[in-house]
Amino acid sequence: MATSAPNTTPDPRPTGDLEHLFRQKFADAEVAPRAGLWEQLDTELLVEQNNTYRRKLSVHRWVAAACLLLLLSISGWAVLRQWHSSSSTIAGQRAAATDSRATIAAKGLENPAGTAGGVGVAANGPRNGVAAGAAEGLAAASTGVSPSGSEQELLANAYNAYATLLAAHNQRSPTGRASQSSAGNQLYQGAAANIVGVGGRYADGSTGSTVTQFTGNYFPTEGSAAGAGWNGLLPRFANLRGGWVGARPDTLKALLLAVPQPNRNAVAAAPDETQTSTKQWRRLRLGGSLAVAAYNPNINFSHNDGRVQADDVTNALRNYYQDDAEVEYRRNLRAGMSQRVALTAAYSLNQHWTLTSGVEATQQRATSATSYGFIDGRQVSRQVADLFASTGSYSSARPTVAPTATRKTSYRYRTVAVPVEIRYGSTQPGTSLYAKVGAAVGLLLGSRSELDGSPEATRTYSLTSTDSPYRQVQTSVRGGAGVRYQPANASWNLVLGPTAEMGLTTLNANPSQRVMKQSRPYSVGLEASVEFGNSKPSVATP
Amino acid sequence: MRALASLALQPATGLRGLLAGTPAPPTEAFTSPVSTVRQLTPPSQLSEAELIDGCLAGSRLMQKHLYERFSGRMMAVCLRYAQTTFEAEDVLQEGFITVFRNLSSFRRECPLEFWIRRIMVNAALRQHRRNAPLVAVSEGEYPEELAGEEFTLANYGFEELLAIVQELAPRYRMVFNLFAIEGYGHKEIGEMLGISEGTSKSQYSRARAILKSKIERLDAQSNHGHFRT
Repeated sequence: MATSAPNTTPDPRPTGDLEHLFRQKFADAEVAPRAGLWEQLDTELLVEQNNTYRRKLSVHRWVAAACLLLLLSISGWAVLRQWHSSSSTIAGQRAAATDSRATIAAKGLENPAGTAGGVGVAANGPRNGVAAGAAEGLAAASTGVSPSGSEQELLANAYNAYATLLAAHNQRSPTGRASQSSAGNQLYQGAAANIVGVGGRYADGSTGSTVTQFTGNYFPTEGSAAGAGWNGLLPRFANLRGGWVGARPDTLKALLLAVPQPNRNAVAAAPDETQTSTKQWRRLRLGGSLAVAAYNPNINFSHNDGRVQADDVTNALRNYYQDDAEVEYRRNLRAGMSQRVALTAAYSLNQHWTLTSGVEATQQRATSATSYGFIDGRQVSRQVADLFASTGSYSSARPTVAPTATRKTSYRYRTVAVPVEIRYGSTQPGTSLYAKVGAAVGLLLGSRSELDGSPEATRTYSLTSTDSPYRQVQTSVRGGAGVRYQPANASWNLVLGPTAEMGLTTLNANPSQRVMKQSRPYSVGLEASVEFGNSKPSVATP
Repeated sequence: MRALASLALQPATGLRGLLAGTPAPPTEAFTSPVSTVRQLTPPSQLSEAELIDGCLAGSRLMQKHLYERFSGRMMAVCLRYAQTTFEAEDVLQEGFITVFRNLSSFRRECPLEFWIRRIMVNAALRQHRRNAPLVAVSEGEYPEELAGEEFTLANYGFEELLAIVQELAPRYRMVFNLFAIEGYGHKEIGEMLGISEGTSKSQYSRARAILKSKIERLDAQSNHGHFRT
């Protein structure tokens, strides 16, 4: 019997080792979870949504409060600084005026040659409109006096001329402050009458403290004028606050699923994702921005190369009007519109921090108005001479000086700058808040100053101008906050919010103040920017 | 020790290896943004991009569709890492919450299923850390021979293999799943579990030995009429 051969045919079915067995069985396995699990998950998602909403709302409130506090701080600081600057200038003017009067009195007393000789010092050597106007004023005031040659009469002439100047100054007070002007008129007129009376008594040989009385009447009026001055310089950006203080994204629900939740283990468990994230260029976003702001150059030209070589009387008068022009210039200085366009490059450092830089071009405008044709720290108009064209006579108790209208001066500055900013906020799609701080270094390409009605007085400076009163290299710090919006799966995002900028350097090249008391430009406005780049710039693995 | 050395030399050929060798899916399916979500389209015909966009737009319906599409496969994953069905459902729920919370960070460079699977594995690891803190096991405590066995794949079902995996001690189950099924290396597993690379090798060796013995016991109890090996 033949025995059948053993069946050695191998099993045709696939085999594998232990790992292959489990991998093959587990790879595509499906097990349906219990039916109610989705409802449970739905409830959990709703709870999660509510918690996230509360958390976001809390964060938004804090950010809004911080922005409000920042804006109030900047505003308060600017106002206080402006007030302090105005007070300092007025105090300086008081000192200069006292010096002028002392010089006038001393000059009159020390000049035994008579009235004609005393006035001739100024009349023979006028170097500009101020000196000429002062000389004319003195001459006009002295016409009603019979030349006796005595020192008492000379002093009376000087006091009379000074009263005329003060009356003329009172008449120049800007309109719009009727109550203060009327009060000032009364005080000035009282002062003038007092001086005239005392001058008369002094001519008779009596003595008195004329300067003291006059000073006491004069300064309270200036004080009220100064009060109106810094009130007039209140920043105009107050109107801008309502637009963003209460602003709050109303699409918070869309954020709920966009909350990044970094997890260390997830990052460790997902090397494929993190390897891709090392492509640095994916974090780069290019774009542009446009900013519109209220810009105040905040220049203080006080004692800025305004002195001339002349006799003491001329310098005293020159100082008086220079200071007066500077005060008036600052008092009427108004913020203008600043427009800034920029090409930006934003680099996402991580999920919250973004570094932004680029290049920007800015055009800034501002206006002021003075009675002196005061531009760029100099008096380019002969307007001052007109002040004395119709001065009253010596015997007149109410000088009939016609009020001199202020003339508007316009300023335009064009700069290019390189800003560097760091922004904190979400980089995920949806609506989120951001805050940023930064600094910029700029170059003043050119400036143009115009005097209304006098095109010949227009001054234009460029990079090559050596006599420009403005600083060419400027630095500033800036900050802002607002809303960032990126649609789901979009490769662009929109950033909109208020921004504030403060100069670290003064706009004028040679400020005479100490560093801590210098006036620096500032601006407050709105900025909008759009960025284009990878739709998912950040790495967030669960 | 030689056994451990041979373990270290084995390439990671789990699902991650399969993924690396998988042809890239059609670009449109993962990168093309869809502006409008088709609400009336049957859920099975919705593309991944549509599901993702709908979820990102806050549509709860799309979230449900996404859950229904992947919950079965993800439940199987969670069951491998969990000891009980109840625990697996906890992991599944936590994982899907994480998915919906972080969906905006999904870059669509890989199939959505792999991304969700990673999230589920991470959720299982978190659950494991909460429930069963690992006890350090010295290296080389359970040196075992690894080579030599051959199993006929068709002889075993998912349920019985899942049952013997779930019977493993948690630390062995974690290491076995991560190494044999997911394809992570022992160094990565050590970092994920907070243990040393040698400990991971040792635990995997022990888990493998246990599984092998259980499968052999399964073969002995079966009445299939032929040997399984």
